[in-house]
Amino acid sequence: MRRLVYYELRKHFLTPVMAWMFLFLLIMDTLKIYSVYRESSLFSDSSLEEFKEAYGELYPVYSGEITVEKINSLLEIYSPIYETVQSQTASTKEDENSYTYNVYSDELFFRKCFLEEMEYDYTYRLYAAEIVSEARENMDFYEEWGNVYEYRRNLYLARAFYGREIKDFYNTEMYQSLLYYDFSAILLLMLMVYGCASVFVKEEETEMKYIVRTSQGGQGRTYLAKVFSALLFLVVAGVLLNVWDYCLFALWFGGTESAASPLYAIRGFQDTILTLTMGQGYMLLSALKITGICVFCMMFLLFSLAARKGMAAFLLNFVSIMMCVSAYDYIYNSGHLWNPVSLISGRNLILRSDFINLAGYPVPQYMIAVGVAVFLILGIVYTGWMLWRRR
Amino acid sequence: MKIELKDIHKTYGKQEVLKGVSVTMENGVYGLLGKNGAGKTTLINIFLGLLKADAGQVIVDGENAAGMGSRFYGNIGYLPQYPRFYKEFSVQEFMEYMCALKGVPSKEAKQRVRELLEKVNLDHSRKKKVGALSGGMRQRLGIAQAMVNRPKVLILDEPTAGLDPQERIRFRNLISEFAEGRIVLLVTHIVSDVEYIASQVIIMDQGEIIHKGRVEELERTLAGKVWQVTTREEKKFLEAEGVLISNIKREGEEVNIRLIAEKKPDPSAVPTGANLDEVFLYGCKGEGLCED
Repeated sequence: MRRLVYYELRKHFLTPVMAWMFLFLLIMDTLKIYSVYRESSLFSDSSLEEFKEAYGELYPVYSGEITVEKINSLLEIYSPIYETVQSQTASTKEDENSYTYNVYSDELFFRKCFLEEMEYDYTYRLYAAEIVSEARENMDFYEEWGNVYEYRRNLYLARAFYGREIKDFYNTEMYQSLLYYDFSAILLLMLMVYGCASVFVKEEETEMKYIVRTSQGGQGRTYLAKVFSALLFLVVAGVLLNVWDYCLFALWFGGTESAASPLYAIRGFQDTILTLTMGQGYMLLSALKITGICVFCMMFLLFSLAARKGMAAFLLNFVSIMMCVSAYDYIYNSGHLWNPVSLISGRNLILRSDFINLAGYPVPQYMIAVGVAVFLILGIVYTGWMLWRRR
Repeated sequence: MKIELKDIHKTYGKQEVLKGVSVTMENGVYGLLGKNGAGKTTLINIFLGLLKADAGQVIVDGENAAGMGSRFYGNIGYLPQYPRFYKEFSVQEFMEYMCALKGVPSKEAKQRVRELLEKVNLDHSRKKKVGALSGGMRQRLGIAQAMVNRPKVLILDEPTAGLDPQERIRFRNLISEFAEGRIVLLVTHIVSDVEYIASQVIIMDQGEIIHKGRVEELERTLAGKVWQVTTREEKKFLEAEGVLISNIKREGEEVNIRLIAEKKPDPSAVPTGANLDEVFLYGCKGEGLCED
């Protein structure tokens, strides 16, 4: 079986064309990440070079564990700057005694780069405690009214948010952009559109189907080898792309030290049900994207099996993506969990504390989406097997 | 090994393409002849399990092939018509893939590939891409892949079609070499291939087997019916009733005609021995095989 998987990889995925395509995708990905950096990083603008210098000096002082001393030290610097700015009497010319350019830019610098983030980190525990308190009140209410599902949902929330705090202050700019970055997933999907189109169709086009089907390993083993080879290529390419993304984001944004900070340290994820670190969150999102693309891959393989020409399979692959993307845009209820696009833009599944009622138990949406994806993958593989046997 | 095809029926829509075909094969080379639409490919596909018969059975050494599963394919080597293979694979890679596909253990695979490539004279081209091979080389590769699992049954569909005379002869010799101790079924339009290497001939027409036997036996069935005449008046014979023209050869102003007729068609006609083409022509009621 291993040999068959290897040769299926050689036939369809480990080819010069795929290698060149992958290289091209890496280049596109790199350019896109750089454009994301230029658009979203405070330090990418060359006109804000002073910000970068000042940040480089002060970040080592204030990063790490948030202490009262650090807060007081920051406030001692910031308060006079703030008052000066409020009075609107200070000069706008360059001031050698300022940290950046002048007092106005200093105010912006400290507020944006330190104070707002530190305040969010420091006060998050109060936010989490409020959620726990509300959840407990709801639990009492629903228990009284016999609403078992809502009781359980609030219990889940209470447990998830209990004791949450953000102890450390780190630069989360990298993860803020990285966790919102889907472009490489789209590139990977395009790569699989091409790679999977030929998996079965090639046997038709080369007239090899007769030899394959009349060989001892040409039935179930060949079918499974084709499916495994597609999955294996997808997972390896997906992991490589995600590592590439991580490295490029780290290179330009910096701030990899925040990998161990909790996911909810990123503002957009303040309501997430997950108690993961940012690094773990990125790995989970990568896994969700790959799972979503897996579903598409199985569909592509099915089209390759049904089509007699590679071009037909190729076009069907594109049409299926367009349909799923359109459906995702228009379906806002839980129906979108059946759509693999929901996994590819997986952060929407983990941003909030959304649940699905499964026989009275609250199950986080992302788990349902993964379960549905596994079901779809198995269903499509089985359908393909039935079709392969008949043909 | 003994293969029995018992009363095979197959209908496509309203057209019955196989009408109760029965044939038994044991070790030896069998030529399966028939024009397009005779049912040869359908019969082969049913035998190979690529098609399901409407009725009838395929029996292998007394066992129904339908119940044998993948064991059946362990005994089969098949070379389809006009195979293109995977052009991006090298010859060596392709053969190793076929070993994997046909269940040849990896320890034996390299040795087996080397032996077969030497036998078909492709060992110097092992690193060449399949797409760069000539037609003849590709056919030799085709028979090599069919032999990878040491099959007891070798089915070759039009193996010499498109080959030049030298390659054709080389290929025939290979078939004869590989035929030892196995059943070889040669499906072809090229009668000379069958004449030279087949021990038995099966002729099909319109879904039925119309002749089966040794080449010499079949040719003897036309004893006294094949005539040769040299004439300047070929029109007389071309328009004659009850006469099948098997060959016309112009020699200067005269033509040398071979024809099949129950009675002597002309005082100058000389009786001559039949060839397999003529057996086929006579059996198919005057409609010959398709062109090469």
